[in-house]
Amino acid sequence: MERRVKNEKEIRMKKGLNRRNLFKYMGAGGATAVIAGCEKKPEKLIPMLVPPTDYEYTPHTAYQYMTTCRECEAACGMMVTTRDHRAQKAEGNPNHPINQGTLCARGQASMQSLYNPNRQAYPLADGKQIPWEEGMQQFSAVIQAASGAITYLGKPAVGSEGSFVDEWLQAAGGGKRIKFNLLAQTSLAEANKIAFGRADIPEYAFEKAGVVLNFSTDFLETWGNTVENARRFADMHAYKNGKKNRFIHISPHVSLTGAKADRWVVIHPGTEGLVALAIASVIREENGSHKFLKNYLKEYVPEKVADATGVSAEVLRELAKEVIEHAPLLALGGGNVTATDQGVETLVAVNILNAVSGALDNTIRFYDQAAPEGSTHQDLTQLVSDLNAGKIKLLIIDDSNPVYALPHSMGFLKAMKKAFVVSLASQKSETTHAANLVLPTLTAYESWGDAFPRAGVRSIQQPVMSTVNTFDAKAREDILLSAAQSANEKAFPRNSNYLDYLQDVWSKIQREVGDERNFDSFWINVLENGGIFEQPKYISTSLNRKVTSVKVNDPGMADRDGLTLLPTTSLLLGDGSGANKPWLQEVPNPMSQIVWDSWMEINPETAQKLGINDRAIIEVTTPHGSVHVTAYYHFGIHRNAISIPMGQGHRHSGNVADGFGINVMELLPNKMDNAGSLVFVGTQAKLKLINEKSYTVNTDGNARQLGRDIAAAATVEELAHGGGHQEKHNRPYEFYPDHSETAGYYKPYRWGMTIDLDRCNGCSACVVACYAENNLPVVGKVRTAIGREMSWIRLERYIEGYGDDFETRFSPMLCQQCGNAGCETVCPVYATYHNPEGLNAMVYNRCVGTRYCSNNCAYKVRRFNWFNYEFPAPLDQQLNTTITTREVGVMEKCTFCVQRIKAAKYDAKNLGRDLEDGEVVTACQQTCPTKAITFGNLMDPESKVSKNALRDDTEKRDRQYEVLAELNYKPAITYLKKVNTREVGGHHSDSQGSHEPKQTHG
Amino acid sequence: MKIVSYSLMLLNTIFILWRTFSAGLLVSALCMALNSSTVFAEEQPIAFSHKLHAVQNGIACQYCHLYARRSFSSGVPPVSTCVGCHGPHEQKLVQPESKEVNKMRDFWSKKEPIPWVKIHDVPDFVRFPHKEHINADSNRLLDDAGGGCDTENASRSLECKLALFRTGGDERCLACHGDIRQMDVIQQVDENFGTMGWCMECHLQVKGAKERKRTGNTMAGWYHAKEMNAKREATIGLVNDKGYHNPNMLDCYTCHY
Repeated sequence: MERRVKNEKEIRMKKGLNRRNLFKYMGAGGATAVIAGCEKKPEKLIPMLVPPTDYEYTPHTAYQYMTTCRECEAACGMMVTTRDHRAQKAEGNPNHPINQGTLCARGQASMQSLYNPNRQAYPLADGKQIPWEEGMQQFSAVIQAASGAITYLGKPAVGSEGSFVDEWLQAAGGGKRIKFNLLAQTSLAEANKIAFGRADIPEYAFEKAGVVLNFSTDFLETWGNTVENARRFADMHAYKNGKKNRFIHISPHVSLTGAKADRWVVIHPGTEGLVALAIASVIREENGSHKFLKNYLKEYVPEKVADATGVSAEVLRELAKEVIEHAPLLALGGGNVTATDQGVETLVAVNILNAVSGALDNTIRFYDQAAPEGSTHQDLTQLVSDLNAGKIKLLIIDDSNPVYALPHSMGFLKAMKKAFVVSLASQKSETTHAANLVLPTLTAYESWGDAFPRAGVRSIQQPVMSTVNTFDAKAREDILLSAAQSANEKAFPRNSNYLDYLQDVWSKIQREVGDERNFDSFWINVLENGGIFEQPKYISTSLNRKVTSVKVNDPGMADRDGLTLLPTTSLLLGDGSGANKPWLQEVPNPMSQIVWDSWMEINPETAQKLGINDRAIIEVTTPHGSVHVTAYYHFGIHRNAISIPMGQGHRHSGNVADGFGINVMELLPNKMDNAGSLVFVGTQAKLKLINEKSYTVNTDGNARQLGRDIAAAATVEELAHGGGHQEKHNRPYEFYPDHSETAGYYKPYRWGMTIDLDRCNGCSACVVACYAENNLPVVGKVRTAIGREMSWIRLERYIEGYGDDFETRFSPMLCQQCGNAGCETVCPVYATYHNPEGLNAMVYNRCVGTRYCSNNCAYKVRRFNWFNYEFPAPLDQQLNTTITTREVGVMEKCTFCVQRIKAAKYDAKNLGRDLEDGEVVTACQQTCPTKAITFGNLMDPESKVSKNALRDDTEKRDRQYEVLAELNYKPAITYLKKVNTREVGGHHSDSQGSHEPKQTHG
Repeated sequence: MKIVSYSLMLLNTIFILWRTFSAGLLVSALCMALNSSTVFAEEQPIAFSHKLHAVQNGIACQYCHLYARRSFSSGVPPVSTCVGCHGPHEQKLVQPESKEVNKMRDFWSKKEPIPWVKIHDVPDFVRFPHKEHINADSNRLLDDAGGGCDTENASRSLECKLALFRTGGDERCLACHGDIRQMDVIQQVDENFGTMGWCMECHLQVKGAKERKRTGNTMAGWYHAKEMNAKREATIGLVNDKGYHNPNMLDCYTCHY
């Protein structure tokens, strides 16, 4: 942390010049200073002592290892690129059936949990550094002293670690394991048990559905496996063959997921269940199925629930009609916004809707094997009272952060002080800060593990590199193992470390899958593939007759005094564990475009009634606490509700997380639903204006397109009549011939890209991937505020329309690699020029930093290095060694991942052939969960990108457009328009812009 | 007042100059121009003789520099390679009494790498792949390139470098590094080693390179480009006799990215 800006938390950067040096150079004179810097200091060549011989090693060469991402419970397969023994880039494992080679933003940023400067570096006893031996002695001693009064608090196990800890607890003299995950699906599993007799999470086959009704889930952000959801949802929802399937968002809040919806039905908070049953009742009347529900559903006919839900009976019947018309249906329910005190009942109601409309065994299928264990927050209540009663002597908290994540009204921190707390954690957190003994653990990149997230998927987690040398950490399971073995000689007689234990488990798996080879070759095969992947088996289920005993009531939140608080999940920060990763803080939230902060979404109508302006500081008070937070105008929220995203407001998680935003958990009650899930919705908040202006930083200049049509859309009707087709822009007469007509250009490659805005859902994985691949520095909140962010690709978000009928559009914006670029002609030193392969090349060592190019770039994608940005150790070990890390005074911008093009070309040349389609994959394209980005050679008529960008079939042709085509920059990126099923209200007032209520400003 | 404003202007100019040059890249480019007039050699931690190893004992370059054909870097041999022949203190094999070899054994027993001084240094903003040069197809050179080499009088002439490159094998290393086999002390023989002009000397001796250069991003390239297209492309060496496109070695992105 730089001292000069001590109060503005920023990633540290070197100051170019200090006062003392200025005078020094002034005295010497400029020219002398230059020459004085010229003493040739020869560099050193430091060889290795012994080369690694256990596997082939070549310097500067990429090696890939398969492992499993452990940032959330979804357990995507990961393929990590290492160079010179350092993991440098995480990508999805293409063999893995869940994510199929792609990763989300958090998965990309998992790199920064490995190299995070705020990792726990050494063992701590009461806040003081101690050697490992002493830490282990203390740990064994407290295990023996606790004599069975041990509680182990950790995440729900996805792999073998659960049974390992259970065995360990037995060996340690007994105790209890409590599973804690803030964003749990326990209520959903409970609802499935009631409705279908399966306490399990089914498969959601989006691609089979004709219409998706989404009851407040955020399935593209944090609910379930978001990467898989995104892919399958895009397959269902994307425009094809002149048709577009329907996605209707029924919720009091529009999150990133809701932003993709064709229609938003605003309902009162907590009434998802009533709406689902009302629709179900109409459908059942129509199709006459499930006769035993007849009387039950009579209670929920649209006319009866219309008042409670705030949706008129006509609209409810219309929705039912739509479901019948576009069947099959997939109805989804769950997530934070449905987590009221009748959360389980709500989800049972959604299940009834699915069953009645025939979605069961069609778009929703249960696996024949149970899902991994869920979390039970009821145990936490018990734990707190046990702790307070002094029943627990030793509390082991493993890699979770309950001090931060639990509602503060629960009193966990106070109760925790009553026991001896051992924290096993890789990252600093509020919990490690409060623990008596902290034993630093390794991250998933450095340790062994496995994950069985669902039937048919067995994923292995292997260390992809040796441990990061600045951290003195050990694998969690190995710490437990040696502590148990020193306390009890008989513990784990067959295992000397966790790998032994794991191999025991996997030799059982080998027998299960009927593999006849010896174990070693099986094991190598597993490591190569990243696991064992089989087709899952499904079982048929039907609706339980007893569901009729489940009563869904009107929660009546909309009528209560005050505004209902909806704590929403955060796409980037997750439950808060992402907050210490600089990339995730720096990348703007795609919906609000706000960086390094929290905000409170409020409907502009409500806000103006209350006299609250956009970006004012508001005191939000609930019976459980109060916080100061920035108001953010958002059409997508119920008029009697506010929403605050989770994940910020850390106090002891290191300098990247601490002090930014607020923690919404401070406002919540200590309350559980029937399944033991935390109740998030149901608290009323009062607002008080504190200050008219806040220091909130967002990266969008304007939320409106102002007629520029940057993120364009067409409706299905327009496309059906060929109306979306824009005549090719009339190019003015040109003095110079086109590059394609010039000798030496575009032979054989002209690199191009297409971005399908109908598939893009704004998840920002591409942005984080670009940070990881291209050594982009993180500049912090203050410098982002003055427009000095360094992202090469950004997700632009535009809002169309007003009020409830608004539309959100996303458009990834990166260097367009123009054929007729504005930047090239104004560079006085030819540092940027059009290269023979159509790349708008940027030569850093030629650049003198005039910044003319940036001035003349219409797309505003060029970034200037105002400083020598620092990558605080060990983050520098992540830097991609195949490209230059830029220094102060030079421009930089997207290169279409030229290092990947070069590497592929070298390989192809050595094989004696030209590049084939698909051999060069850019980092953004690689990670895109919906495959919205296509990259390739435009000169090859058979390449995928040519088919998207050039093909003359109506489907593609009518959707193709170039951003700001009228400037005649001839961009190499062709966008495919988003396809809407409606005209958005107020669309045409767009060009006037000034009519809008203050939505956002820069 | 005037003095104050003049001095402020001067200060400002100096500051802007300083800011510009502090980019580092320009500084190194300038320094290269200033420093390139001397043949460069430095005292090494061990008086290692390439002549002794490569000529008298006939060890091939890539026996020790084993990554040259596989990677961007040629690889400074790990200390264990030295120990492989010479043996550690406990079990001295080749040259048991040599003072210099014992220095190496000292490093080995201290488990320290040897801090060799880098003599052949290309700037950090250049990505130089050893492997692509070792594996390059010498048929891409102009047919008469390297023909006029006069080894006696001008052994470091362009023609001789090209001739060495054409020969292939370990001779190819000498094309850029000079006759390392005759060096007791490693030194940089080409005065302008590692400068762009020095690289381009050879790269312009590739078939089609000069023609391609003329069609670059200058107005000359655009001028009548359409009419000249077919003719130029025939002479430009875009496609080689094996049927795939030759890599373009004149584009900045070839080395600077």
